[in-house]
Amino acid sequence: MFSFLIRRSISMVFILIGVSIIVFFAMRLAPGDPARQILGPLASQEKVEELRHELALDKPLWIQYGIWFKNAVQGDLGKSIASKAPTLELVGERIVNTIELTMAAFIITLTLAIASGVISAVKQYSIVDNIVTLFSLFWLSMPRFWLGLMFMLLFATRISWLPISGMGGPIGTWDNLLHLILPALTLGLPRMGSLTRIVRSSMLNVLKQDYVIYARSKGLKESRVILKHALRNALNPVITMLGLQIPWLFGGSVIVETVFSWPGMGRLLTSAIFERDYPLIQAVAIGYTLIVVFANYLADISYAIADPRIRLE
Amino acid sequence: MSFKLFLKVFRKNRLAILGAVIVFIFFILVIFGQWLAPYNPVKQNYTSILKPPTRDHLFGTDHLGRDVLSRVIAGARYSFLIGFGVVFIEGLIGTILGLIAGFYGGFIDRIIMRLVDTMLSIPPMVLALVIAGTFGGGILPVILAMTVISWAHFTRLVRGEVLSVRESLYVESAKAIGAMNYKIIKDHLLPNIISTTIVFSTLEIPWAILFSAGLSFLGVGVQPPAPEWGNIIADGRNYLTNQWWIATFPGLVLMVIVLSFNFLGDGLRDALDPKQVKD
Amino acid sequence: MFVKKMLCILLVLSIVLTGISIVALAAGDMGENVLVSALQEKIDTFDVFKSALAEPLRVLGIVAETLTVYDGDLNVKPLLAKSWDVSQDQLTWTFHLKEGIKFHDGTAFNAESLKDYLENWMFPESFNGWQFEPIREMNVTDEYTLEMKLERPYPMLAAYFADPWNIIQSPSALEKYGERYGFDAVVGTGPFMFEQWDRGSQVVLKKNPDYNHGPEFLSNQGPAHLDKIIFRIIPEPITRVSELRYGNVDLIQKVPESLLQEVQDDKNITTLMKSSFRVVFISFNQDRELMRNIKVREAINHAVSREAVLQAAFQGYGQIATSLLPPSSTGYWEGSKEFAKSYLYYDPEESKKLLDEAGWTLPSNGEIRTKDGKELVLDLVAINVPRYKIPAEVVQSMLKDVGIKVNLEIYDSAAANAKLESGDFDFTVTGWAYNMGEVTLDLICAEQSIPNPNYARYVNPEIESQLDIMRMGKTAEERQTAASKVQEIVIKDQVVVPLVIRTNSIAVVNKVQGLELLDQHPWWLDLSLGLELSKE
Repeated sequence: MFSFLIRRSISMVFILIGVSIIVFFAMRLAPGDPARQILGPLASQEKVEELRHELALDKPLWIQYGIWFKNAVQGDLGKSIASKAPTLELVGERIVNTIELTMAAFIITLTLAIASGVISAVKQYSIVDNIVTLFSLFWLSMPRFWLGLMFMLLFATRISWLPISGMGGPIGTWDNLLHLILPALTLGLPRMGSLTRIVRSSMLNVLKQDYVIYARSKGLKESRVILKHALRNALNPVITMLGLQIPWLFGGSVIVETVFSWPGMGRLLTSAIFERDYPLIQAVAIGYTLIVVFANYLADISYAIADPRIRLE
Repeated sequence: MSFKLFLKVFRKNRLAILGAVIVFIFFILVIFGQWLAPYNPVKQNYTSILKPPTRDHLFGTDHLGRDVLSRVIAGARYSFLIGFGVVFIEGLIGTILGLIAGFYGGFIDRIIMRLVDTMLSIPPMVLALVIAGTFGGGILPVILAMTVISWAHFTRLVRGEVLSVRESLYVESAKAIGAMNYKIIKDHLLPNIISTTIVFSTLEIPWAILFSAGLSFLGVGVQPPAPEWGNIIADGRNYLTNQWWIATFPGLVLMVIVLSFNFLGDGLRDALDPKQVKD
Repeated sequence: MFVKKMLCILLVLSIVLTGISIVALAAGDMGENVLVSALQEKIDTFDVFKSALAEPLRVLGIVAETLTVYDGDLNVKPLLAKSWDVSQDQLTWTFHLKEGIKFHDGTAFNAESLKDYLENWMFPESFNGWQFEPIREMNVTDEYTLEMKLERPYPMLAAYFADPWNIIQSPSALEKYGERYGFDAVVGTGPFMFEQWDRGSQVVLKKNPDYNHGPEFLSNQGPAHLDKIIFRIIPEPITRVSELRYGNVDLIQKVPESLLQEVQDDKNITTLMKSSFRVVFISFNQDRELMRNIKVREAINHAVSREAVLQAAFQGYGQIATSLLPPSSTGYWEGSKEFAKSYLYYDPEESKKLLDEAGWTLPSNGEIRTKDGKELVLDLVAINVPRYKIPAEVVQSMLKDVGIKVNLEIYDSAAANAKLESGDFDFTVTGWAYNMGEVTLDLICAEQSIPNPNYARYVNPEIESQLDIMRMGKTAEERQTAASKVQEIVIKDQVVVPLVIRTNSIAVVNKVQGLELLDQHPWWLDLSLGLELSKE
């Protein structure tokens, strides 16, 4: 276990460096001058040049990256070009909100996917099964922003049930949870589609196994057989898949945050991109990667816990 | 597996047939859309701005008096270009790298897979935003961004397939009789991974179409006035409450096409490889 | 079975919880007079020296004040300054300050702190610094008198001090917070104090109970009736409008035109509309040979229907522009209404004729005009916001009708700016919004502001000399005449061709009172002092 953690940590560092290089060069190859963007059209050309120099934008790219890397190692991810605030702080303020939203979406996705996956596996080829299949593809085929807007219009102006923007209050308060519902659904439902199908096929597989047949033959109640014996074993491949779903969920939060005014990292990223705030873009990308890698970590560990036969090699 | 068996399984799947039919209609629109559209999709008409659906304009008109139906038909080309363009490039990169990694193994495999792991750890929307966004949007930046975020997934898949085929008997025996590497790849590996590749590609196309619509919503997608679907929907969102038809019809068409590709992909997967359980 | 049970439990739980929440919501926040408004996403910092975004000004205009201010008739009136004198030779300005005012952090507002602020902060740091460049030195003559010595006569000085970007802030707070200023705190003298900024969520302002020096033309000179103003940050326009109609937001500004009708139809909402400062115009890049031909420019001008642009881009809300300046800004030339009639009109036939004269003729079987075998193809650059993008689309389509092919290139603002600065384009559809027309003219038409924002690379010696008079003329009439003259030349030259003026809008729920006050002003200067919430 310990050596596993060590190895994963090392590969995590490599991944972070890789991401920082990719993002760093991707954005600097593009046109657009942060100095002018920050100072606006009123500023003189000299002032713009001055700021460019101050931000080291006039140096070769490798040197710029070198400077960034040296500082990053010392825990300094740089300052936002626009607001001069430490990017670490800006990302820190938002990261929790994004995690809350994504976790909520994750829980919704998982609950719904397991429930509907199990039902459709147990009732294979029934009408219920077909409806579940159809619905999971239906959610999967919907543009997320479209789903969000539809939810918003439905719940705000027509029925007025659920809040449609903002966080409502500090995380965990009742108001906050209410505000969480629509964004989390919008984020989670499209992902639910693919998970449901995995649960279903994994469940179908397990239901054919000897131990399930044995449990049934002992005269156990069907619900007990399914929940206790079958489901537990069926979840293993699902957990592996979850690791792959995580980046997608976090990525999707960018759009959902915009539609529902959720103050997360995604919105920070979009505004940073429009201002060409390089250090901030970089910091947000690293923030996202960090939680994704960490979530994968957790998925691996829970995989080991769910299935004791797997050793973390 | 024979083609007959494939057809037999596929034909049973009604949703897949439906999907195939709609995808076929989509192709017709891409090729003949120019002649099928009732109006010129870029022609503006200031005397009929924001008109609700009527017999003349089945999908209504937008803020520039353009016929929404004609724009949706014209938009099929962009979705096609993005969907197939991205999947073709990522498929090419993914297949080549996957083959190399899976076949040769060792050091080169480790390098490629490290890169793949790195790519898979970045939320795709984040990286795509950074790339397409800093380039200011446009069809090429969008395709570039989406290729960058998707090739790793493909590579992983192909490598996995290659690994399982490589251990099989005929590769071993081919190696034993001293066949050239490229010949082994061509004769034994490629044919065996092709079905997985096709299924995966079919399922990637709807993803690409949806994803580019998301980029358009965030303002970094294919730039207007191109009648790309994501664009039409994103532009129409501020009209949603009063002139619902501008964004709703393209949205529905987009959904139907994406759904059809998914049905088709599912059908293909079941028919080509019934035992496979992959996302 | 199990699943059914779970669903039942979930359902019951959610009903109970909804019940609790309704009770909880009803019980919260009674007594305080809180107005909830909404801001767009574009806020990075509230430090005016760091950010050129306009959205923070909506907050800053309430928290901090300028020395002088424009009244409803566009006269410069005192705000933080009580009065000012100008010496005979126009080289010495003496500002007498209002007494007894304190910044929100307790620092006294007096000649000493003002001098400190201007000298060490505003003049060097602000991108508006150029407006004060003729000031040679400042002397504190007594506690509430600041004397400014100028290098040359500079009649616009008091007006520049009314520029909303030139707010006066506490120098000791700037010193204390350093780089954190505008982030953790903003300290001014305004009717509301900066309390808290939850980034991405909201900005909370609370009433300044000691406020007593509102502009003389406002009926309430302070303190404000509201206890708090909360600005919620909501990026999507449709979400802002929905929240207003749902009752979670009391006031929004700049309702997108496509949603205006719906808001106006809502009986619970009052909508006010005014001409904004934003003029949308075409700029022809003078570095391009082809664009230097006035016949081609005129042809393009006459090929574009301004009514169509207005209708398509702004749903008809707004007006046709007759000058580079909107009537609501200072320096506007009244005569332009008449004058523009013979220059800025829609006549595609004339446009075709002009192109023929310029040698660009329509081939017998083609749609694009040619000259010496070359096709008439122009690159049009515009920013990806509806207010420029849609007019650009209209222009593209209308030019096609007269035989000009337009490659429309739409970029986000950073990429578009880079493109426009590089000069790699033929013309652009863009715009400008500023309450001081003199500044607009200075920036759009003066040689010194090439390449940004004088994207046209517009150089006209006659304009330069008129601009000099506008900046330095001794009397207001003289300066206005010069400003008018500049606008006249602009219309004649057709290098920068005005199209339409956008409408600004405010939508408020009916419980908000005090809107009459807003209507007294040509633009919504400061909402905060007059507004009140009715008690039901």
